[in-house]
Amino acid sequence: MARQINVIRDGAESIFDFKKVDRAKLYGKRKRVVLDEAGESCVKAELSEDGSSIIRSGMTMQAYFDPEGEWVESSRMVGLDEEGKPVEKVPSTLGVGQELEEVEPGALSQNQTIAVYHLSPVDFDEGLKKKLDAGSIFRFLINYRADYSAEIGFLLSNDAGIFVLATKSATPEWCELKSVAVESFTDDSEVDDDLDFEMF
Amino acid sequence: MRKLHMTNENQRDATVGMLTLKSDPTPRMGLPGVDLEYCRYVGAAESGLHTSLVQALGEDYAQALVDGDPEIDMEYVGQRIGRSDRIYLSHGGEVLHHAPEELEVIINPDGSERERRAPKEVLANVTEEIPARWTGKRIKKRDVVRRFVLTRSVPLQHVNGLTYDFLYGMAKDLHDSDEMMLMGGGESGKQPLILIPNGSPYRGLLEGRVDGERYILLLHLSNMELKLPVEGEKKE
Repeated sequence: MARQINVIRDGAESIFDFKKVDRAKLYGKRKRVVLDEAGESCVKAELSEDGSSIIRSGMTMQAYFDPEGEWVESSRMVGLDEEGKPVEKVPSTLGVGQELEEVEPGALSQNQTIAVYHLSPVDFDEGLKKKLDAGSIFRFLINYRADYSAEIGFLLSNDAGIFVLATKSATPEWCELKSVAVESFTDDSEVDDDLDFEMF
Repeated sequence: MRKLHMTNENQRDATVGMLTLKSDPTPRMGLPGVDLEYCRYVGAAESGLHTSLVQALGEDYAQALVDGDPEIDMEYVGQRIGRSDRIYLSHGGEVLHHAPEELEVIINPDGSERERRAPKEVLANVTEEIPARWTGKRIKKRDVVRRFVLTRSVPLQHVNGLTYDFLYGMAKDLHDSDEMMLMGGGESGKQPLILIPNGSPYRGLLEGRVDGERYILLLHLSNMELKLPVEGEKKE
């Protein structure tokens, strides 16, 4: 059976099937193709810094190594907090009822949306339906697969249907008169990359 | 720090700072008490790739891998890959030594190809000369987040005392009305914002919060509506 999103409000559980929605499915997309002199598509590759090797797709691997140079299998690695201490694994929330908390729109707008899902009700609590129809927004924990941090889900609806936005939390800083933005010669490229997603 | 040239309700313009809103830290993967080093390395030489192995051994080469490890080049495999440059190889595998021709391919929502064309150079429409304009179109915050996916949020910050008043005034106005302001680009001030040359166009929505003398002014960027795919839907 397909996995579902289960949410609980005032003790009543609602169950939804879900499907990911992305920009390409809504508007299409554009991509750039590089052609050689014969008009055929080219292939991207890398030239090593010393110019001695051409590295094609499929020739590279990546891994973590310990100070002795030994490869560390990913199955041995765990989630670590900022102080380097292990953190608890967070199980997948799919199929497991998650408590809803009604929030103001600002709780969603400051977070960074990483995925959008359209929901189809399988079992829809009438009280929740009325609240969503009235424009309420609910927050809950959502974790597609077990890992070391859950995303913050926001449940809402509009004329097009019921949606969940999976987000990462972010905390904007307050600006005060004495704290003036300062010039930096290192930030520009970082911001440019952030803004240019090539999502079309 | 990147800067944003913008106007307020009275169409007074100023240049302010654009900061980066980073997500709160999440756990990193590792081993407790051990400093791990991330590394890219060569996993296969060209002679070990599928196409080369097929050429040398035929389609059914599985047993040959077991018997003799022909896919492993001991001189090459395991070498660390440091800095590298992006290059293009022709269809025949030759390195291109001149700037290649580029084509832009437009793909429909259903995955079919709609058009191939020469890439269009798109100019930024928010520049030192052209400000992002306060359009006067206000939308309730609740309606914004139920209608648009806010793809990115850029905190704006003053660069001096005058721009503190400029931004604080906008933040307070929007905070008090519980609304966001649609910002427009281009000479007309009605276009989606294109902040860098050849960048993607985004709807710009300004959200303000105040707490005493402190403020937060976020420029939300959106290039996606909260809706479902419709058959035959045209690209924006």
